[in-house]
Amino acid sequence: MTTLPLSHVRILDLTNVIAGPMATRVLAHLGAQVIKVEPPWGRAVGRILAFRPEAGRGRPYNAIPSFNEVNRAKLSASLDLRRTEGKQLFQALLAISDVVVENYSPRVMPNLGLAYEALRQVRPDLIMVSMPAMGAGDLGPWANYISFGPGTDALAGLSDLTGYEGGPPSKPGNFYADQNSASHVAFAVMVALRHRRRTGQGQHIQVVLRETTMAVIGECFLEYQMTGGVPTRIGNRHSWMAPHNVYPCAGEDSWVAIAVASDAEFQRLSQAIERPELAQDPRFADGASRKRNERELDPCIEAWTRSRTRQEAMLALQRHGVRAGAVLTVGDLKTDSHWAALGSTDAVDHPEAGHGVHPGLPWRASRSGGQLGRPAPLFAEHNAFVLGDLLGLPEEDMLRLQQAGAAPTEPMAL
Amino acid sequence: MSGSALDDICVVDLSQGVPGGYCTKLLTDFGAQVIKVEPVHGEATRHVGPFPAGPPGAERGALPLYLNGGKKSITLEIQSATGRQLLCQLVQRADVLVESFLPGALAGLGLDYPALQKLNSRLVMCSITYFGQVGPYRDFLGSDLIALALSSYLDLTGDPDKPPLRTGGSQAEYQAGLNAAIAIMSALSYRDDAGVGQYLDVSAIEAVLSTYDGTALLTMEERTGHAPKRRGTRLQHRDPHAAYPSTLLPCKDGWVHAHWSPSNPEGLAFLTGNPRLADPEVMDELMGHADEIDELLAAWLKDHTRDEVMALAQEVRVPFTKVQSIDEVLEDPQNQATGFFVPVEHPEAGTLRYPGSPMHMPASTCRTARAPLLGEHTEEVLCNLLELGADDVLRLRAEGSI
Repeated sequence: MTTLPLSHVRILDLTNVIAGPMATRVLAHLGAQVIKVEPPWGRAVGRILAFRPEAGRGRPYNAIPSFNEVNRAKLSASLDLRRTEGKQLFQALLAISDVVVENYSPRVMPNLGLAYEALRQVRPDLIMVSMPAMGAGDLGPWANYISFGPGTDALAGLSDLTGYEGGPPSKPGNFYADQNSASHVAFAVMVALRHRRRTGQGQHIQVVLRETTMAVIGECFLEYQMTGGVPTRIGNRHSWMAPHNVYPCAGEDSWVAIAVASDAEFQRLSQAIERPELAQDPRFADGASRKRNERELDPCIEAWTRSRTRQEAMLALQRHGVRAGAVLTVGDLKTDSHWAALGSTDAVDHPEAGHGVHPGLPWRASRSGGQLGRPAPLFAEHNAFVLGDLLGLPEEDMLRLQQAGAAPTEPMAL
Repeated sequence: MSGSALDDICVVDLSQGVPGGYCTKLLTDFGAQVIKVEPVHGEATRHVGPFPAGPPGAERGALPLYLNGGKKSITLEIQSATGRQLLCQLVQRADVLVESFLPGALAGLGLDYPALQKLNSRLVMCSITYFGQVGPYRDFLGSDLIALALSSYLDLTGDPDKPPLRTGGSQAEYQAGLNAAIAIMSALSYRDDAGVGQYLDVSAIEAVLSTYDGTALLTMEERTGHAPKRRGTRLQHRDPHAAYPSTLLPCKDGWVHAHWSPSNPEGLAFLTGNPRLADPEVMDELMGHADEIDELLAAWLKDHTRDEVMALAQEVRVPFTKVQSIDEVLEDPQNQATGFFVPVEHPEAGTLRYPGSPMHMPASTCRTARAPLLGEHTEEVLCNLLELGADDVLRLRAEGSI
């Protein structure tokens, strides 16, 4: 018995950049065989983009750090889907696959003749995922708008909610919208697989990037309708907790985050920072008063944190039963004792790009874990397996496809 | 034939707060029967607001209204022996148990996975915490802000000369819930094959770390020795050859998100009519010219409104979008046309428009339903599922167990 939940699933991955590839990466780590079907020109596949290849780490198209992170544990086969022969091979592959995931802009798949309606003729119980930026199908005036993840945060309201109090809108660090939508896709695919298992029925799933961001700030839309007040950015403060902020500690750019959720917790905080009289002060007596006077509290707390390291401040506060956390940097994650105990990063040796460290699956499972420690594929690394072993093409056909540029082993110029 | 993917799945949800709430919301949306087990006075999110004008009310908070739609609510005091016994009976009939207590709390009540597994070997039990069940911080008290701090996400958001900045909403908590739902689906898939359940330990800080996928932050830190830091609204990568812009810039009446696209590299020059934006010197080192690009774009943007910028840019396939506030999002023409917000009536909160599911799955019915009142289904669940009599329910009510 295998220990992987999706070991019976084969996925054809036509995705680019981050949102789509991360979704199939999660499924690959859960045991699915994910075949990245790459266009013959390496350039368009996210092997080059925001992140350039690193010099001295193999052939440039195999040395893109972001590609090598988000495509771990997958196989790569090159195939020109614009050619009749490429389409035929794709359809043959489709007939022995369970899921197709794509995140092109909405016009691309129909233009290639690979819309869901066409693909289901080949595989009637196909599960197909598309990831439009703005709307499912061709609904709405923005349906054909193009956007990368961060741009959908702006339209969804998350940028307006993020920022310093009174300052301009900001945005989450990173590509939050992409990764958030990717996890929704991974969830949706497993829901659809279970649906198919129970009914025999496939379907075309559309996960709308902008909508996934709206879904994780859903309560804000209800708050506005109920109160008439428009929720907007409030820096590190909180709608009802106070104090709730980051405070400077000893050292450069060194901070501790503190959040107080109850009167009892505030009493413990005032003990911890050796200011017990604060708990008796009518300005801070209850949650509403503290919220009203939170600006006056900040200097009292800061006076205490400034002479301590982040770690000292966090440990002292937590010992007193106060919510507190050192603001770790990305570099701290590899030395912090708690992160070491979680053991959740995925250390991988890539044959050309060398050693890398990546996020793994964010949970521990008692029976079915993930297949971590597997690098991203080199360009077209698995052409022989996919075309030969899976599709049964004789070697001379594979050579001809390679030479004709339909399934090259080196990317071609555009 | 079954109408949805999970309508054979019964979830007992002991969790409090956003993480478990969003996790079981996702399962509810695709047909699972979720029984939310609340203390007699209601779970935490019922008491924290925001509330509409007037006194706070356990039935009128925005969070429980949003997160609990379609779930059943029963009240049960698991601190009492009777309550625990009823919970065990529920667990015997359940497929999934979700909980969010501090590590060890359920073990103290005799309700940890080894004990519950003996009652139901097919049970999938998922613990969702801020810091996980292992490691020196496991007993720490957490919150969304604290989880963002200890995952390093806080350090990546905000301006370089200002303190680290929280992302709007409760994103660490939502990511914890979302990844718990993925973990549960994977365990159900495993169970469909192997016939046995298992225990899942999901943490918010690891869920936040999983959102670094595809940005290579850990690898680049390891290779260069420099930790990526917050850079305002620019991406963390400082390589002068990296793509740019992906940033927020002011325009005539607000802010827009400006983005360069590799499939339309000269789009910025075309949009603004400024050839410098397609100059090979700039194009070769986009990030290296970030300040200049900002200036050139700002000069064009100041004469155009958000709507004009988005329409003009999208017309020529340049992926610019506008920054909208929450009230604008609710009414924007795209949401009007797609019907993403669905009106739902609730006996205490009235009719409000709720976000629908971002996952459009035509074959798997997705429902948007109202949240339950506190304890609304206690009697139904105890009588129908546990087959208690009406007099048993009266007695339990009298002794305060339910």
